Parts: sequence; structure tokens; C-alpha cells
Amino acid sequence: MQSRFDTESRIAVAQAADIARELGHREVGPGHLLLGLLANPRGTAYAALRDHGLDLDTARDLVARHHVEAESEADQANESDDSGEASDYAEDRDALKAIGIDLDRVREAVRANLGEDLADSWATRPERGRSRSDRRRGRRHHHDHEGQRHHGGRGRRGPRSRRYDGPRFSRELRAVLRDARRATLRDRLEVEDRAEARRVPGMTGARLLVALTRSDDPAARAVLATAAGLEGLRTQAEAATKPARTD
Amino acid sequence: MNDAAELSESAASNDPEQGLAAVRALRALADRLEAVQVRNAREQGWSWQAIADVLQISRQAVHQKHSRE
Repeated sequence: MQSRFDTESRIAVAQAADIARELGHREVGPGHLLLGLLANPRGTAYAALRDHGLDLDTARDLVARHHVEAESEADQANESDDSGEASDYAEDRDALKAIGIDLDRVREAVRANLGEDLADSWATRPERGRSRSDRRRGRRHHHDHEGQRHHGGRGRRGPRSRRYDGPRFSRELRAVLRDARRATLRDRLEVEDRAEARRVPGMTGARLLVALTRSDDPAARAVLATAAGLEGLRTQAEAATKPARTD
Repeated sequence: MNDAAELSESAASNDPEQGLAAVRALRALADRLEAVQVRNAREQGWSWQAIADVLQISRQAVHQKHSRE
């Protein structure tokens, strides 16, 4: 893959998940990732954050206060065990819009004609959606052709990673990671020489920080608002994403 | 609706992120529609065999997947 995480960014993501758990949050958001970067004094992102007057304890309080869980809507809508359902639906709606399908209109038509809500159990397979108990009957002599791969799953989207069972990443956090990944790709495209392009750093702490400064997430914004000069912070972080010059 | 050129560009996007997301979303949509439509067909008295014929999968497969309730 083009965007391997370096040590700093890996630590930051792991720390972010730990901090989210400590704070009792069920989703890891951009705010937590910011804390993850702040928790690692050896990182390049840490240097930029500290230079602009941020510290872990203050930032943690802000995140605790401003973190918003996107899940409550899904919890009320149904008793599903897949708390990401609502955000999955929103994500898929965007993806379908890009190829000319208006999911909300399909949903509306289904509701009108069939009286069902498509968003219910979105992206969960019928076999293992909401109420496990009442489909025992159908499964008694069931040869699971798909094998054991999809357990506790997200439907056709495959199993959740077994190595990671921490809190889920929020939609905003996934957007931040995507943004950082795109920046890597952009930088690589700028380099003509292929061997040279491969040396452009992938996912680094600095890249995550740049992406975070562009996030709309309320917790991340609350923390970054306390920085002495957000522009300066972003500039410093951007400079740190460039490989050390030899010329 | 946007113009056709723009749409097909997204569907055949060479940005894997976008292209793959579209594939995933289509699957999720197909899965949900299948569940809803099969239930509707059953309520209208369709046999499993009839449903299976239209979906072009085996009767057992449909039954196995949708027979709860």
C-alpha cells in the first residue's frame, strides 16, 4: 500500500483509541487522535502542537467536553448491535450519489410502496442482523456456504478485524484518515521518478496533524482553537510532512 | 440529474477509494432491497421456487437466507 503508517502515526492512532476508552466514549474521533499525537513527546506533530501552546491535559478536558457521539440516532432508531449503521448508511448514500443513484429517493419509494425502511439493518446481512434468536429455526440445518469468515460481521462488508476490538472510528475520523492518505498520493504524483516517489513518506504524524487542522469535528476544533495561530500550526505541520531535503 | 459524462466518470473512477466505495454501497443496497422484496413476494403468496427463479439462485438458497420470521 501507498500509505503505510509510520511509527508515530501508529502510536497516535492506538493512543487515540485508548484515550477514547478512558474517557468512556464509544467512538474514536479526530479529537482523540489529536490527543494521541499530543501524548507522544517524541513525535514531529507533538513539536508543532507544543510550539503553538497546546498541552495534553488541557486538550483532553476540551475533548471530553466537546466530543459528540454520532451514534445516538442509530440507537434510537433500532436496537441493532451495529452502532455504525446510521453512519454506514450516510456513507453509502454519498458513494451512490457519485454514480447517480439517489438513495434517499429509493428509500422514500420503498417506504411508500412497501412500508419498509431501507435504512433499518443497513449493511447487515439478513442472517445475522438484529434478532438472532428468531431465526434459529431457519438455520438449524444450515450449511454455511460462506464458511466461517463472516462472524459478528458487518454483512457483505466483511468481518471486523479481529486484531482490533477497541472503540469504533467515527465518520469524521475516517474522513481525516482519508484526507491524510490523499495528501500522500498527491505528493507522490508530484514526483516524476518512481523510485523517488516511493521514498515520499506515507502516513506520518505530521500528515495526520495537517488533516486534523482541516477537520470539522467539534472536539478537534475546540482544541485547535486554543492554539496560538492555527495557520502557523498548519504551516509547521505541512513543512514536517516533506522529507528532509538533501539539496 | 448531472450530465452523463460526469456520472460515468465517477462510476469508473480511477480513484480506488471512490470506485470501491460505490461497489460496497451498491452491495449494501442490493442486500437490503432483496430482503424487502423477498418479504413482499412471500406476503403476496409467491412460492420460494418462484422467487428463486427470478433471482436466479437456488430455492434452497433463498429459503435459507430469508425464511425467518
